[in-house]
Amino acid sequence: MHVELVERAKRGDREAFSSLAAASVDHCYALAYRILRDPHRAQDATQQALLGAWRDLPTLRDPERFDAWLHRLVVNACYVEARSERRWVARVRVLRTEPESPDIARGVAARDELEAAFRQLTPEHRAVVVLHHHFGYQLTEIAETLGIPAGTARSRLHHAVRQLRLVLDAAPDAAASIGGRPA
Amino acid sequence: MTERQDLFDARLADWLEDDPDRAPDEVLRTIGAALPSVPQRRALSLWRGSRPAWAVRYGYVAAAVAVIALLTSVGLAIIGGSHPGPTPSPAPTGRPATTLAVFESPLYGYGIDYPIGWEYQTASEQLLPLGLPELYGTTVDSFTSPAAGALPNAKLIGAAASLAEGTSLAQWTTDVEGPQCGPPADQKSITVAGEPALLTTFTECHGYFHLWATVVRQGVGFHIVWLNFNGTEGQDRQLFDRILATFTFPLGITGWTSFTSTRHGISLSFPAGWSLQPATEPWIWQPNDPGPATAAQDRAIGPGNEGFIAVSQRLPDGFTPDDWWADYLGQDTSGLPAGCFPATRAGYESVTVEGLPAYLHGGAAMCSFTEAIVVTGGRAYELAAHPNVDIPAGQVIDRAVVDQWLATVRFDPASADDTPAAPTTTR
Repeated sequence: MHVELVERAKRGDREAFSSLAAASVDHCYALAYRILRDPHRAQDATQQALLGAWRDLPTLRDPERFDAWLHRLVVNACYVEARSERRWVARVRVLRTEPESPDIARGVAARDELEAAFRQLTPEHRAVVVLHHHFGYQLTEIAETLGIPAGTARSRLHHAVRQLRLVLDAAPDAAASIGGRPA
Repeated sequence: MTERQDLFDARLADWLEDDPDRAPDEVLRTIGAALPSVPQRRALSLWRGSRPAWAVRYGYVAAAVAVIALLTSVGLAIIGGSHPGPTPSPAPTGRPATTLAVFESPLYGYGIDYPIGWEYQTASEQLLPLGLPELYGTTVDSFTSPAAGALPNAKLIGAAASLAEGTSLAQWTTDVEGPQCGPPADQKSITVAGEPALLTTFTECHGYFHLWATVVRQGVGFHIVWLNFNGTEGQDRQLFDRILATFTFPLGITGWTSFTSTRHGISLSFPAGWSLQPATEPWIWQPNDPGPATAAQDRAIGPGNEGFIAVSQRLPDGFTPDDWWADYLGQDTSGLPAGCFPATRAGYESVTVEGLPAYLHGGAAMCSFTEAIVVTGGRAYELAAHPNVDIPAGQVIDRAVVDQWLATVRFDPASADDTPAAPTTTR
């Protein structure tokens, strides 16, 4: 645990913070990328979050909570980055090439539809999906990390998954791969 | 859980698993390079973070505004020295925290919170440079505890004076306080609203125990003074620290910092003390334009993370201003709060910026921004004011502040630089 590093960084030790940043940056980026779906914006959000962490570190009361606190900063930075787009559009459209087999075709279609469906979610909904389905956070951990009530975390996750399923169910190719429904 | 749900969850996790897990090396390099220029916050306040959005204050508003600040924690605001950090005093126990309200000085423009239930009188005359901020005088904003309050004899005073050029904080403090109160019992360096300040303690002066904070900013000296009878110094200090942590300097246009963008063909001003992050890359129009990256934004960020953000882009070849607007309005805004992005230009508020037609949107708490759009000289300008650039929604920036800022804007589209940024390892 890097409690000592956190304590030193809280007192203004840049070297200690650099070590913390080095240890955390990949996780922060992984989280930001999955929420924002864009490498450049994920990079911006990661940088903003880590610099914000340095700036606000003296306000962190419990060094043991550094990781959860940093994750909240990353998610908040993602919100800001997402809002700064102001127009939340699906910018990346997967180019479909000639598939080698029907299975691959369905797989590509499924991922394409999933990407498109996920992009329709708000950043808040994306965050809970990523934290739960990728990082394995339980609802209480999501609530604690995001600073929201557990009920809100639950409803966001429920709504997000429902939205994804609605979109995917409407796409026959994708549903075959994702929902197990006959093609 | 059904099999179908299991399959769905697995598929979702599998899809997310394929995303990258390693940050580009540039991220750490950028952070390392930026770290020395990013100061750490020294003033710690457990409750300040819970201040409601409308407590974001702008001191030039020439009217006293008192609104209830719901303070949910009982943490102590620590007015810290520069380094090492101050030692927190223990939070009061067994007693609810005093609820504070927001005050803007009509005469001096500063902002400060005061205990709800206290009565106040506002200054009507300017304090002289070496004038005593006298209780009940006409040159001070004074706050008085109710007789039935927890600290029935406590008083709070605020005042400011224009100082002669070159006047130091220490000298001014000594010159004002010394003749009135004699040698202090204690004096320590603190920060007030991010500025170096002095907190001087007098055990007894004119019959009162004094906690006297002085701070100088841009040639103006500010007094924030707590007075009470002896006997409750501990409680006095705790409450005064909380109050002192809420102090904000006036943000009148006087003293604003002017800035000329090297990227966007615009000049503007922002409040002194805000940090500037100039754009390092252009914002190039593209179909389904996602908006400018942070690096393409000229950002002026205040101490409370309030911010002014300016960007512009050259209209694509063959585009008229109406073509640009049609493209802009045609963007997909699903997923964003309804009402923040009107579907037609008629839905925007018509204003002028530097005499040019401008269209305003946002301006509600759910939007997190108030933005003016101007198309002129072959460029589209987007000028956004944010109450807090770190919080996506839930706050609204004072419209008067937005107007004040927009009044400083000057367009010079011919000077814009759309040259791409130097290539990096990752972009």
